[in-house]
Amino acid sequence: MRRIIATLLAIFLTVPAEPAFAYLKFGTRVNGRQVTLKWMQTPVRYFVSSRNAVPGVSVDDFQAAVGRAFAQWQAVPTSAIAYQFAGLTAGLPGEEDGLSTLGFRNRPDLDRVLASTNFLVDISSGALLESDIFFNSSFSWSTAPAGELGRFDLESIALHEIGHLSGLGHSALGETELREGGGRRVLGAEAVMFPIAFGSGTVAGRTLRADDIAGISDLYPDGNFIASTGSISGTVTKDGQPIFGAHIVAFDPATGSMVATFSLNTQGQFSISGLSPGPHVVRVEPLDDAEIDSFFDASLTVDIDFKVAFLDRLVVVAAGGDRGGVSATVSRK
Amino acid sequence: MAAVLTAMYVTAADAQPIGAVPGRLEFDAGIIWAGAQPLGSHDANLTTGTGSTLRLFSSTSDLLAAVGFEGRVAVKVTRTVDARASVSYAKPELRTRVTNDSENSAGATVSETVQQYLVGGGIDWYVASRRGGARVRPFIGGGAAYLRQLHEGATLVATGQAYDVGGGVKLLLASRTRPRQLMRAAGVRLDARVVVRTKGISFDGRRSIGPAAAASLFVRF
Repeated sequence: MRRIIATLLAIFLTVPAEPAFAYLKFGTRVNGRQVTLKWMQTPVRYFVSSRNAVPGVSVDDFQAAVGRAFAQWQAVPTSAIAYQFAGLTAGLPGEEDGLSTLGFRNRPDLDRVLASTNFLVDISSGALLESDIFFNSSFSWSTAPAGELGRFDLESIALHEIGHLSGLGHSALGETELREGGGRRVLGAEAVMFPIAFGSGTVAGRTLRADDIAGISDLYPDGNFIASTGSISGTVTKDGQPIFGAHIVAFDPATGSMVATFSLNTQGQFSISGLSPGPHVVRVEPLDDAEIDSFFDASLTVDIDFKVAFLDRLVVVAAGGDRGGVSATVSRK
Repeated sequence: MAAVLTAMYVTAADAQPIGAVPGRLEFDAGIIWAGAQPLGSHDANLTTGTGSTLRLFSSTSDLLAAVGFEGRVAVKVTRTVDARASVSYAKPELRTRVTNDSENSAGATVSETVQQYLVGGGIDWYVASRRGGARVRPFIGGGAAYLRQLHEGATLVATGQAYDVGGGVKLLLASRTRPRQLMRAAGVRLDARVVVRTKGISFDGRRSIGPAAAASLFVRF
């Protein structure tokens, strides 16, 4: 769900209890244990609603655009996720009909929500059973190759929502500024899963980034993922105390790529997997570029009172290994 | 080796040309200084809505200059040519400087220590001397080596090749010509090289060129 709107997905977002969980994923508690929501069977079959086409986007255009977005996620070489177009349906997204449906719905009341994803979950196992994505037809949409002025790019937004459909939460790899009239404007993002969409008229969000690729591979790893990449794990502390919700970015100085996660428990522990082998610069920053409830349940207290800091050592990641015990210390602002 | 050298004395009559006797083996050991190796620069970029980039911070990485150890064994192929095999070890620091951070103007310098091994061979050609008893012998040479670099913790290896060309001098400090003496000569070898490294730790994928210099003590048998 794009932050330009917000909260429908946030209510599904709970925080994994175990630090071994890298990235934000959707989770639920099963018998007192945190379980990541994911599809247990692939390919994930999806339907396209044949109702409510919008001006400038026919059903065929819609199907083609979301098909390209699904294809990008499926093409990630280190992920085993697969999708299959199952056909058109007269149903609408949001209906509990056992079909994962993508389509338009007119929701002028959600005046800051471009699109949203919801789930039907087997709460005994955490298995995703159905996931629908609705695109808000009260906005103007486009599937033009280069985008269209004043219209939101459907493929870009679909790419983000399909990340949610697959079980991924939001990434904080982006910078924003506050708008005078409220809300935030994206200055830049390096993850499709950043919660705030680019403005209309751009197709800059059509490409998966290193962080997205690491996230989907972590959730649905194929055999090559674990052997070809490595991970960093450790803790973040301030004044000797662990902090929750610190944003940790692993930057590869050989490629310029970034993969990030959060300290995800009260022990301040974090784990970033899917890193390319080699030395990495580790940067720790407060979560101050989006609304915190885009990432965490509102009942959780996220510490944002600290300065950006870098680890003073390069952290070497080996293929197939975890560089554990990394200790990052931050200081108050 | 220093003790051996000080126990010997040299007279002009004993001195022999450094490259005089084919088939002789020569061993030397000493120190090597390898110059810094730029590894390249990369920015941590975010993508903007126009598709351009917004820099979060910049990084510049170098493998810093380091002093290490080098050992060599050489055999006289002809009176003016040595074939040599060598091994060297050094622990250069891999340093990344982070600057222009959009949220932390102080930036940072982060590093790790790399263990670097070079195993290779080459040829030295002694510039002909008119005087058979010359105790200073200039040479030029070149070689190739297998490069093995272990990142901190020895969990990750980068391998490549190194090629060098350069020249130097050998200073004969002592020699013996009597038949039953095993050690025939000893001295100092000084050289400077240009080293071209391919692969190994390289952030931009390009080969790097850097200087190196070495000083060692040698003994010839």
